Amino acid sequence: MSHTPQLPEHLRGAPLDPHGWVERHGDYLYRFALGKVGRGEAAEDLVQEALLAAWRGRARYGGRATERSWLTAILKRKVIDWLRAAVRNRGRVEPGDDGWVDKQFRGGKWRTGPDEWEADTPGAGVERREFWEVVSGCTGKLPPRLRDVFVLWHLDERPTDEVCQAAKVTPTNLWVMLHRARLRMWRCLTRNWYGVDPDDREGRAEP
Amino acid sequence: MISCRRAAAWTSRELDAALNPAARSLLGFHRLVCGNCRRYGRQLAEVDAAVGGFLADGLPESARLPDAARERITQALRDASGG
Repeated sequence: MSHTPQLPEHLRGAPLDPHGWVERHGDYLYRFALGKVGRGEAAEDLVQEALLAAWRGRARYGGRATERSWLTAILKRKVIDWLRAAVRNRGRVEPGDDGWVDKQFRGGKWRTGPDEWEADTPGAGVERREFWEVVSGCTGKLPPRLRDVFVLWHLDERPTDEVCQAAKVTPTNLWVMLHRARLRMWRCLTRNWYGVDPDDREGRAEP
Repeated sequence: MISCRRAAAWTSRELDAALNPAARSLLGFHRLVCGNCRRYGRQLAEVDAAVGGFLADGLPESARLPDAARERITQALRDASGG
């Protein structure tokens, strides 16, 4: 068994002994993957792939990070690859084809426009965890293709042209999908955290 | 003047620094006279930052690796490591 001497005892792992990985990190890694891919079976498969890749690449673990950080970094790369493939396989989005977005506007203006919010983004603690649950719920409600693009865009740190090339979408297609995803996230978070549903404010003046 | 619908689409592109100078000017002018789009611009930036925070640090806390997957992954690791 190999320990990392610069880490405190409770953070030390056993990078050459994978038998405890599932016990020590399984739930955490599963939540990490599930929060990004949004499908339980895919998250399970990604955790398995990541742990097997970690075992095969164990010689590269230098002990500079905790065992969990090392495994999470491997899992993150697997998640990004999975999202790229998911976007590639679903094809492109037609710019004019989104009935939900159409319904948010009337004659080019907001049908029921944004109001001032009544809550803030929480900083830390229990409220922060509750907020994450709401964000997770809202990303889960996005249409799968928009969800995958939106999450990939946030996770993948490469330049736009490389993200587009890897996911086989044009930049124009990417901007359209990001706009559609963000508009839905804004609406969902306004309804469920920050404020009230704009539909509850029928009759308010438009700009 | 551009429509609110176009302003909303450009607000998203603005977050990615993907708006050309002419479009930025038109969006800025639109916001001068449209309170809804001013608010949407502020709120969308906060939503995007919140999602970024969730994807960096947040986890769906209630989820647990299902038992069947736990056993399958443990066995796969055992097979791979010869244990």
